[in-house]
Amino acid sequence: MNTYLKQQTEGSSLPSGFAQRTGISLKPSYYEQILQERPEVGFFEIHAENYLSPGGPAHYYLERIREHYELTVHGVGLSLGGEEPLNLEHLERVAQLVERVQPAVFSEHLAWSTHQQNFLNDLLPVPYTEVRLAVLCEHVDQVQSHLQRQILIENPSTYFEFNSSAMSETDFISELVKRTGCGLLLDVNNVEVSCFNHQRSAAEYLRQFPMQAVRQIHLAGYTLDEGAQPRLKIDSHDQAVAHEVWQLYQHALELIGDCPTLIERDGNFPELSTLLQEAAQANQIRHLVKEIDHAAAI
Amino acid sequence: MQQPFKQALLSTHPDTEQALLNDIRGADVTERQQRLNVYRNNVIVSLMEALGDIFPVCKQVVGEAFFNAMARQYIERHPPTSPVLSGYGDQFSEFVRDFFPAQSLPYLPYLCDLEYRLLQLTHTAEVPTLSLSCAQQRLSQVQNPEALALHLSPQCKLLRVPFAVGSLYLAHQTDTPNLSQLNIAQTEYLLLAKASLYGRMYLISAAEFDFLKALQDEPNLSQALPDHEAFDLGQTLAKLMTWQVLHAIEES
Repeated sequence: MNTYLKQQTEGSSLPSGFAQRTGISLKPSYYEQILQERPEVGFFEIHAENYLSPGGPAHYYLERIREHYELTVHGVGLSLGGEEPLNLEHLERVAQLVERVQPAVFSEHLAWSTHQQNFLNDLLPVPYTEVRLAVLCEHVDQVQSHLQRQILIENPSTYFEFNSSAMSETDFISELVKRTGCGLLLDVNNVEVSCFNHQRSAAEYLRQFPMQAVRQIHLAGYTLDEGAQPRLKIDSHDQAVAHEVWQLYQHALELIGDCPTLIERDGNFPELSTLLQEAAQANQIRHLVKEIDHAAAI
Repeated sequence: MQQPFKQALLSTHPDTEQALLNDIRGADVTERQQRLNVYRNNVIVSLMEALGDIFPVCKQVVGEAFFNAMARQYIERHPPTSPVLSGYGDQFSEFVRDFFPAQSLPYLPYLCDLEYRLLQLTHTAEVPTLSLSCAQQRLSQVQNPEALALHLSPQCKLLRVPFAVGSLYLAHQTDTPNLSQLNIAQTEYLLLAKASLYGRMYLISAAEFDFLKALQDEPNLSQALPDHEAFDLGQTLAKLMTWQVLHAIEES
């Protein structure tokens, strides 16, 4: 592990809003209401790629909102799982954003989206092989060095597995953590979606997952593709968090203790109050798990 | 692996997916294809939606089905080259010009070009311009109108288009566009500028177009005055001040 990563992990306490209260995705339809009503939200999470312009409404409102709230930055375009070298121009733009807004965490995905200069606008799966792991680790090291901070990597939602994969997803992620010192963003909805799609046990996945490296949790909604055979769950981020994902969330917290959490929404936007209610529900579960932990310690 | 994957996602030809299907776990070919189709659908639908957000008026004018058919082909031929999708579609107007099913709508590429330019303006950094009151005060202090220099904001763009796409665009800024008065086969003059965070478009007259074009080359007011009977300097200045497109008013 690089020295600065170790210092950061051990030396700094997490800022209070992010650590204590659940956050929600920041979307343009909520900008005005957030500034007028200042809802009690732990933090707002932005997609880096939507905030790279030097002007316009996104830039303007981000500056206003960050005067009142902590932020986290979630990258969706670095293509860390790509076979080719990272797009350095894009990395530099992301680094400038991170430098400017000083987020509580910066996270990215175990996925690829760019090949030969073409950006495909999706989080595409990676075969779990030694070769892919080595390249992914290089890319994660490169981003951590460039940003001068530990980054979090999110477990993917996948719709197929590769015959060429030589290890499990959780072993692949454990090895990534070991080699790069990165943290993890545990997306509980992704666990539910992938395990359903590959007919595995989500609880077993969590048992295998390197929980000690989890620094943030994502909760989101999925849609069910009834037409597919077998049926597939699609990580659509356009529905309320599902019942079984709440249950899995509580189970994850029981394994790791309290953890900063985000209600993630990217489409079919409801009233802001609906997302705030989901955030409150996450806070309740976090509180409940803390109580149980406390009682167990007596 | 990623090259055949990319091809399978973008291409409409079924044979491009064979190499990838062999590496997908699944009971049979149908299941493997279904699993791959989730990604294909994610990529194509999300990029269609992105293009629809970038060219909303074009989409309304031609309808969703026609727009998506056009977008589908564009995505295959010109996939994005950057993860920042607000810049996607820079070749869309040219593509639409050559898109055979759209040949009966010769104004469509001009509309797309207009929408693209406005979105790019929205994303540029704000440049300070004179507020209405500040510009009025500045003008009222002028001693010698002959020496007056008007500096337009460097973000101002002037367009002369052979169709009434400016009016078409403006008509679609309401929920129920009224196109009954619109004669699309009419040349229009447009001023594109940025105000209150967004790229904005204003319809101007041919005389105003000549005036502003001249001001861009040489800000001296008296030299820029066009030789048009219909030109009303007072009215034009009032518009420029209201639109807040003046960078500076100077007396040389």
